[in-house]
Amino acid sequence: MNKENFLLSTESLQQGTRQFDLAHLAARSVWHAIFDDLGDLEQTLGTKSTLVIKDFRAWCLDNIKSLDWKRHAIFYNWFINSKYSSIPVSNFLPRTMVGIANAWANEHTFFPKQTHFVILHSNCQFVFGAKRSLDIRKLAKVIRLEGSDLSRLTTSGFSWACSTSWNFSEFNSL
Amino acid sequence: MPIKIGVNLTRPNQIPIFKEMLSEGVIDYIEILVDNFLTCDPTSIRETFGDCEINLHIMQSRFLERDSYELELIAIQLRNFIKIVCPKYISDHVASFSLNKMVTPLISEVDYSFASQIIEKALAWQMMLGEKLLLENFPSQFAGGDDQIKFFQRICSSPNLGLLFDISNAEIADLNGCIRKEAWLSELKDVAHFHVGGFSKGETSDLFIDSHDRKLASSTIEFIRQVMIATHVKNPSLTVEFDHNISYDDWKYDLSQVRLSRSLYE
Repeated sequence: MNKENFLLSTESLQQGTRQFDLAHLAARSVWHAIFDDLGDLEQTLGTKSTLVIKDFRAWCLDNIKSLDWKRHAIFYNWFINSKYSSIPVSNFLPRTMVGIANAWANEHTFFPKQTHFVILHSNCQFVFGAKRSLDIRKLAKVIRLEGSDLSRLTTSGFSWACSTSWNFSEFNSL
Repeated sequence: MPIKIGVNLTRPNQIPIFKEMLSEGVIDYIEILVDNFLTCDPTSIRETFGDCEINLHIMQSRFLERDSYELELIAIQLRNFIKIVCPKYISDHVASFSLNKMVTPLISEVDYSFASQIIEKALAWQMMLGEKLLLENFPSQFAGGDDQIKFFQRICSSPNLGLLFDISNAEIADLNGCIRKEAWLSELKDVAHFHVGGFSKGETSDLFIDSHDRKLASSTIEFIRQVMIATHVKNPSLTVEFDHNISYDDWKYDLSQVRLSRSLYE
């Protein structure tokens, strides 16, 4: 195993080693990156949340899924097809879409010229948008957009677009 | 020589307290983590902070990994920042952010045997920015001898690159058994800009990490003194970093400790 694989998985590591400590720091970082925006799911899972993240990361490693700003979409798509899918979670899809919008809005090295973002899902009646701030003093905003015209643009799963205004010309799948 | 002391701005809600620190003379400048503000209009920085010195620090350019198209998009924004803000320095990280095409939750140290390729990419990135680029030393976690120092000797031999010396990172690398921190002192003659932050120990092992979540250790304050004697630069700058579990009282305490100890080396 490559010496840095412990950053992607906690498997087969011995407690008391530096790799073990770094691996668990990395796991904790992913836990927060997912659950900070999915409070309902985290509460529902309780102590199982750690195991969920462990299984999720193992799947990501097997399928080479990089957890960048799209991580909530990757997590959602994995969860609803996983052994945990029968666990009922309130507001899972809308909260996921808010998480995606939040991540995009605050990670400025992705699409650094774009200020407006929208995320849709074929199973969600709501459309969420994000607007990055042009003023250093102000936070980015994530909002629910009224009107479902945009939702017909997605045929299956997540679609997103970004631009310098609320006019979106190209939608991408997640 | 007088030393300028600054803090790192990572989120908008820190601005009021930082403005207060500036007006009270607790700090002399602000270092902005540009990653979190890249889409902002940089004129809002001048509107906010007036003519205060502003410096720029980059965390996630990933210049070793991103393609030139993506880097140019980031560079366009940064060049605008540089034009408006006129920083005394702009700095970045030499690190690995991914493994096998997957972003890693923590960054890891590069393999310095690839120094030539790394420096080539650093120079290409620097050329996009149009300003001298400082690169930060890494808080080594696994034994690597003095490879990092040799790497930074090559960095500093380029007129367009330089070292942003992170004092606590060097201490961490020493505590992790990688490089003695004193080995850096002879390399700091021309180094003008510095970082320092709190660090912590791993949960189960002897690992030390740059957690930036607590006050500076007393050993760090002592090492700052040695570093400031080692540099021959007039008006060096030192950014005291605090990123997690921020206690502004602890942060101000650290700033006051650095200012107090300043008299020992001025």
